Amino acid sequence: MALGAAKTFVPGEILLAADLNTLNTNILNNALTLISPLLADLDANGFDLTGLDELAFTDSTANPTGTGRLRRNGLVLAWAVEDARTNTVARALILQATTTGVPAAGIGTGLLFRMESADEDPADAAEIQCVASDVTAGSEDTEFRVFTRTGGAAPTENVTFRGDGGIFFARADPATPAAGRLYRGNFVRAWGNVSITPTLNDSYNITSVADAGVGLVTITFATDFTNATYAAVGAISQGSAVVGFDNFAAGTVRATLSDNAAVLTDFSFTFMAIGDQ
Amino acid sequence: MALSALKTFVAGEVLTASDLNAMNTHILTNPMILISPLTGNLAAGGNDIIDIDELQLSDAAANPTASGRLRRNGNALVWAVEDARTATVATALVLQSVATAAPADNIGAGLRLRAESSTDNPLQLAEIAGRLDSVTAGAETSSLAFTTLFGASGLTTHTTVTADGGLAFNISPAGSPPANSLHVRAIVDVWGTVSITPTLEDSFNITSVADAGVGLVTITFNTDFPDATNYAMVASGDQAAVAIGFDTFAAGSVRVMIRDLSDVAGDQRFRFIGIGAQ
Repeated sequence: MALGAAKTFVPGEILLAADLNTLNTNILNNALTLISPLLADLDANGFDLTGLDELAFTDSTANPTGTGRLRRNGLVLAWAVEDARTNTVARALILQATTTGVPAAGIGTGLLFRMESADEDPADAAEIQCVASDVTAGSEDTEFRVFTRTGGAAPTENVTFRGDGGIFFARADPATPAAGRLYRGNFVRAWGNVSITPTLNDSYNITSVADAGVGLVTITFATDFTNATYAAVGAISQGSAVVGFDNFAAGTVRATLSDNAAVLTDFSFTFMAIGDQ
Repeated sequence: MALSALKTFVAGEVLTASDLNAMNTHILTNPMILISPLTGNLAAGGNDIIDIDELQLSDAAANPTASGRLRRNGNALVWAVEDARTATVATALVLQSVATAAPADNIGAGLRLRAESSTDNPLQLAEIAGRLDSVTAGAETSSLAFTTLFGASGLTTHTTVTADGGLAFNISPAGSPPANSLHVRAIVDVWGTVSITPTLEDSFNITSVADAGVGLVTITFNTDFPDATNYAMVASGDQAAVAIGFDTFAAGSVRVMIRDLSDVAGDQRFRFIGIGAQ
């Protein structure tokens, strides 16, 4: 009993209005003392709890006991659900941030990770944002942007997993790249397999190949490089012959094909190019 | 009314102390029955609800009805907010895990996903974790790591978005790589464009190029390969009839050999790409 009786009557006692009022007021004025702390589970019966400031969980150090329950396991807030699926994905958590305005490209919802640094408590450390790059009805595109910190600055866009299947690198390459990492600067930007005709048999980021004379093929990129100092390498599908590249421009490069006597000759060849876009 | 009256007085009844006491005690000792189950919304009035064991949400199968509310839609816990933005990102959920001790490099906070396997219930499935690589005041650097299960290794950091703008691959799969997957050994590790001088005109992960004789150029890597046999180099010259090969492979450097098609050494502009097991 959290709330004590204001008065305990004894047999034969004259019932005074003041006593009855006190009894009544004791309950009416101490509703929280009456129910808090709870003595049993509180059944909200489908109604809402509103106007909350904080919810504080005890540390149960165990999973929630049923589906649809939140529990604290040490430092972990565990949301547990159970269904009958066997090999599909259950969407266990939804972050929904809608708007009263008119949505435009760039609207999104984020999940922020905070911890603590030497001088910040808490410190915003990293964020995953899902952003709609196109909000046009029926043709929506979305992407995941990963934000991290560098040099003490607030988290900024770092790597983005785009809706078109690509990974975008927002930051410039470091002076000394770490081993085994993919950066903006170290993946192939264009490649192609060209027949003797010349015809583009297969390619990536190539608009066309064009005959520029005997043993000369102009390659046109779909998305240009930002300069003419990118690297292009290739090989001819025949021994004792070589391919070189010249006439480097942001949007095109020329392949030069020669036989083993250094005579320009048409060959089929393959190539790849890498550089700044 | 969840709690029934202990006694209903009738007209003309003599009011006894015991009845009054019992009636009072009945209410005082049964507060939960008095209020639970609720018959309307319970407004906390801006106060806290503390010492909760579990919070069980009914399945509303609909969005929360207003901003700043949690609701369960089937299996999904939905946290819904609404503001007036049009083209910016709202941070809807913050996972904050600070420390009572002095924070040190690599302190982090994570989001764990659990499911169920044939033997584990629950199965620790995967995790997304933000990490402060440096906690130094004013120079904080952070990364975000994706952790997955990897066979006998258990939960293993798979890929990390690093503060230097890179994507670090922490697992190198054995055997045949699956189609359309990018792995660490498929990443170009070095490339460069070298003039006839030789001068490095553009590059990635190259410290320098040095003249090593007629038709010979030594390329020095910035970040080395592990050894001399675990990478491949390809190159092409600037014009037809130039053959380019590589020799003197070392972890930190490689030598370029430039020849004409009569096997005569000569300096030429060239471009190269190297890939290996960094």
